[in-house]
Amino acid sequence: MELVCPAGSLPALKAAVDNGADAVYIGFKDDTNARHFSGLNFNDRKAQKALDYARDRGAKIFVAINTYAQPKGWARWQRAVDLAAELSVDAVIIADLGLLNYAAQRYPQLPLHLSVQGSCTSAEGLKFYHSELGIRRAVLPRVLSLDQVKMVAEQSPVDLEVFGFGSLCIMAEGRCHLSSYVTDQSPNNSGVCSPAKDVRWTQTEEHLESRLNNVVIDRYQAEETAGYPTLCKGRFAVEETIFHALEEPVSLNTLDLIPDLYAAGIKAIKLEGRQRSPAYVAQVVSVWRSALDSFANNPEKFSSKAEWMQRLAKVSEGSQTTLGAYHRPWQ
Amino acid sequence: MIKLNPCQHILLPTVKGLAKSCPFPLQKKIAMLFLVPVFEEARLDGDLDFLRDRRIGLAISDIDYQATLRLENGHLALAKSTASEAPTDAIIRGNLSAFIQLANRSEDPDSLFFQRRLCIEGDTDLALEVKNLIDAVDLDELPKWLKQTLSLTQLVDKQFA
Ligand code: SF4
Repeated sequence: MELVCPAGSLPALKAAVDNGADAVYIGFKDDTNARHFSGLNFNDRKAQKALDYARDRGAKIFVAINTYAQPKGWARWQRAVDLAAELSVDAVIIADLGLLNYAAQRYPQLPLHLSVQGSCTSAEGLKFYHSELGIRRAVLPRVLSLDQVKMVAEQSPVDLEVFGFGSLCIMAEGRCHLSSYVTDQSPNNSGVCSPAKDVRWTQTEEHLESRLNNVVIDRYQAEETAGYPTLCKGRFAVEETIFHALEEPVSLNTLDLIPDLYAAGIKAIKLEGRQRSPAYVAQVVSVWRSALDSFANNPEKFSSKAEWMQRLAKVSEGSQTTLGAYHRPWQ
Repeated sequence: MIKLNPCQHILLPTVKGLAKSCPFPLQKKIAMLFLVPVFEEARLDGDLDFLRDRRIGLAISDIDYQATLRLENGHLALAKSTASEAPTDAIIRGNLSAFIQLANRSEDPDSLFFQRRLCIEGDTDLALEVKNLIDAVDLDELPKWLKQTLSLTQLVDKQFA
């Protein structure tokens, strides 16, 4: 299985490649990608450098252009596809139908991957994207159980990529309205679910408080680990009990499922975290590389090592990990 | 609480004493020696522009030191942190160990933040931009003497492990 790793900067890209990434996905420096954070991502010159570095070492580069194009900025999304094609990257990761169509018509040679933001969870959907737009791969949303992944994989006309590690997102990606509700911005349109300009952290005598557009998301006691200030991971009062009403701050980790995913015919594992540092990328990629290599060398005897799990927990939200939806027997 | 080992018992007060007794103009000169080459590529790419008219504070709690950074003629420079100066727009706060681990990339800033070893006050967007700016510094492009200095911090880092 191919290991697809995130990079939000050139040093992160180098960390990914040096630690054994087969492919690295990057975004350009604007709102055409779903990690549009200040100071992050690649301008033309850096993208070229990234490509050279990766190619020299036998790694691929994918470019994520995975937000939904807006009428006002359509030229910007077109330009992003043009630039990716000019650089002759190994694939572009797109969610928007119109943009997929533009890329398919204009650059028939450019490999297209359907982004997780496209939120395609059925083989029928994949057949449509394949026959009409010629996508070669799709990234499955993190909401499917392992059995559902197997079912989709059995009939999928294209290669499938699934999430292996990263901040847990509990929505059918591409259909989350939580952040729009609080901040008027969404991952699909603005590339972020807790826009930094709306985030405030305040330390008081008793606790550390996070607010998103002035809505209290959480209050952490002195010894508690903190999380990202996203609405889905906040604590709220429901019938007088205050708790993580939607989800706890936690990261998804599917190291244990490598044999199952392989058996299901999954072609690639995606690690999340383009907003994270080179140190994070180095740590997560090296653990996953060791795990995939150990599985390839001896598939029957594979089991995840405690040391790997510890290293991943250390960089996880809330310092804990979960199998997420993959292990929902009722689903 | 992180337990202090014998080395830190000596290190922290020494660094604290040095920081306290070093006059501001000298601090500024020393800072410039590092800041200019480290952020030169970012400056040329226009990646420092967001700092125009902004002030960012780095507060190192355990040695009771705060550095304020701002742009001066397009370059990142140390500014006075005294009360008579303009307030900072954002502060990144943590212990010396956290900052050392940040500088030599042995720890991920978000993880330090989850573990509550780093915190952000004020304008989160600005602090995040600074974090991303630091993350984007390509250590391979730095002059040799700087790389060597950074590898020295790795030795110090081990004292905090
Ligand atoms: S707010 Fe939460 S559930 Fe919604 S997209 Fe962001 S991470 Fe996912």
